[in-house]
Amino acid sequence: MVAADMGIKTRDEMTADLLAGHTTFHNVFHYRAYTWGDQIAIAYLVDAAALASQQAVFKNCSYGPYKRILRRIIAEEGFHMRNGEELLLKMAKGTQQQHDLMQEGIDRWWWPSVQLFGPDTRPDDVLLRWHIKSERNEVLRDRFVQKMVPQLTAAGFTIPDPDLRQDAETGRWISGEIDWDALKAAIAGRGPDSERRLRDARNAWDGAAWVRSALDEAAAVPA
Amino acid sequence: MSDGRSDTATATTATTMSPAAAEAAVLEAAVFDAVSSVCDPEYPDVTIAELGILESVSTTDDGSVVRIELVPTMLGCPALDVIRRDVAAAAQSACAGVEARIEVVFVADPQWTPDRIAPSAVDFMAREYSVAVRSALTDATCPICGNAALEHRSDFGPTPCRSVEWCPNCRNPIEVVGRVDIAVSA
Repeated sequence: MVAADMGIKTRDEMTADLLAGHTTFHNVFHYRAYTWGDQIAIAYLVDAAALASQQAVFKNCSYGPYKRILRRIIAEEGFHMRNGEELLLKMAKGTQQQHDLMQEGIDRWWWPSVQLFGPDTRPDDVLLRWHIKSERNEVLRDRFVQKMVPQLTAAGFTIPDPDLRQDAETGRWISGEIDWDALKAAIAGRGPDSERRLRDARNAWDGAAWVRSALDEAAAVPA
Repeated sequence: MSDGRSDTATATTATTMSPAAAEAAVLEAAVFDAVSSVCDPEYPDVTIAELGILESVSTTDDGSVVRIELVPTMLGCPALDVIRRDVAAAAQSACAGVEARIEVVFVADPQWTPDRIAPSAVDFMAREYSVAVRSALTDATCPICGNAALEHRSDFGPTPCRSVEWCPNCRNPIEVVGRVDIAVSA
């Protein structure tokens, strides 16, 4: 609504762009969720990462409309994350099968969640300069790792990062090398599940064409 | 007790009653206080009492059962389980050291309407979340610019109890908590 009101593109044009594969999405929307383990991992990891980014913007955002809407989004996202936490703990205490299902979800979503924060913020980053963001990507990413590693290991899960280590002096967790090419490919629409997702969106759009035209015709009939 | 809906909890303690009944009344008041401050999962700074979700707290005369009745904003609200658990936990802590069974139930009667939202919460939701409330007591105005002529855009907002409207004056999308009328057309 806001984007359409800015007059750059109409809603229909934006839909056409999306279906043509021109619209970019967060990397996490280019991966497939196979099981409930994935759903919980998404609520727990991805929503926590999204929440951390949103909070960092909210804190000091100079753009009023964004700051206002973020207040509400953060409240809602916090509820999603809480849902993820509760379900994760339930799976951790469940049967071996449930535990394994959850571990597979964590294995699939750990890296996309870490990558979601993006590469280190450049020194000339305009979003920082304009006071849209208040913290650097690497700071947020590090905070996420420090919080998630102890929580997941305490619940009996492992992190799919063989090079993850704990600094002996500071006790801080240090990630192995992050595959930024995976992030770039996903954002460019070449992620593992990009094609299927777009195909489903196109099929849904085409399949519902008759509903849209029926509604238009009904609306055109004088009362 | 501040919302005036639960005068039963304290008003009866002063009259003559058995020690057990007096204790039960004290317990009832303590549980009411505790569950009143439980917040809604979607609005972490607004309590279920302010939203009119908390209907009543009652105890049996012997204090063995504490019953908390809640009114769901929508029967299909996915947050109900979480609210039920939060309420049960708050009641549990208020009952610490007392042998009492806690019952948390959602009742379908009375029906929740936006009229049940306390004025303080209406103001807070507008100010902090840009969410407007339309009820018999208050007409929905744009929480950002105050314009009263909002345009309806979609019945389906981010939660079942919110619809999406548009403010043509300040050009912001506004979520509105309002009465939901199920229209059945021939």
